[in-house]
Amino acid sequence: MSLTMTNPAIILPTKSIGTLLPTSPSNNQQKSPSSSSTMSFVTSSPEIFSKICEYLTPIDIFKLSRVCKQYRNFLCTPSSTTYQNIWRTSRMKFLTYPQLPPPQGMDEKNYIKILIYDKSCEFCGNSDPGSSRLYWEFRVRCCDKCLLKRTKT
Amino acid sequence: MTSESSEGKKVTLKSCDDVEFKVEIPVASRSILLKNMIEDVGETDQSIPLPNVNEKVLKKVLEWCQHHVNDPQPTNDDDDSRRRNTEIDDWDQRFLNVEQDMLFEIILAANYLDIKPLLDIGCKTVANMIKGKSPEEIRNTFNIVNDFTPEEEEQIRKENEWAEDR
Repeated sequence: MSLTMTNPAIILPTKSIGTLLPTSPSNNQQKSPSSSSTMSFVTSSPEIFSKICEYLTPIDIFKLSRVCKQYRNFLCTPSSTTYQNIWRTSRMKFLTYPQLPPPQGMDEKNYIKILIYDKSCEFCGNSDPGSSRLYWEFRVRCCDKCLLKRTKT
Repeated sequence: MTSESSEGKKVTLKSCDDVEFKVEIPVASRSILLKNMIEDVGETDQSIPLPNVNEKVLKKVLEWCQHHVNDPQPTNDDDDSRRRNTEIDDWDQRFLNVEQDMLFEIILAANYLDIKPLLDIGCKTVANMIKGKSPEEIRNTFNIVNDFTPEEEEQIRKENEWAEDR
């Protein structure tokens, strides 16, 4: 049997967890083909969403964050604990060397991005290999030109 | 499949749609929620109501518990090894080869009933459906509507240019 799709669903960000958990017999109606996307209930339970992310690499999580507004909220809100935990778990599990926590003032997602994946200058976008360096004291990755332009001696 | 230590003792579980299941105690005890309940209450003829699980899902979950009745109980120390292991054994793979609605209901039930190994394989299965896919492919897989405005989408695309060809 394949994992068949149900009809297109709208993710309703206003749904409370209570309405999404199968608390009442009315939940049985879900077997009807017109039921909403089941992924919508999972995302309404941050706990389960985080558990699924435990098995995903940072790149997969970056992609997940671009799927819809709700996922973006989950994965791109640095102030939330869920957010920090998801990215930290993925970093510790899948990236071999950055076991050190991000420097103070830098969030997990940005840390993973500038450390591992995005090697271009944060300001001019120059992505020539070796053109940019990480300046931890400023929490940026940039090229020499932009560094000079933006610093005073 | 029965466990010797149980001496065939059973407990009755009642789904939210009022269907009763007579289950051997070691099978029901795969659920930590039920295990604790049974230990607290002791022997009883009364059925245990499960207001969060319907008949169809409970039947499926009990099928899993029956198959795994003799597995060792997971301990907290296993947390790390659990996470690292992304393999799912053949029986479990077949067991979870169901429609998405059912898959997610199993996950929610496993969470509610506190059956960690079942919750784990459920989440792994969903993660495997996400792995390596583009945002558009993820939307198609789960029937998720792209609710970004074109402006937001352009903004996100710019932010993520570096990740495009990965």
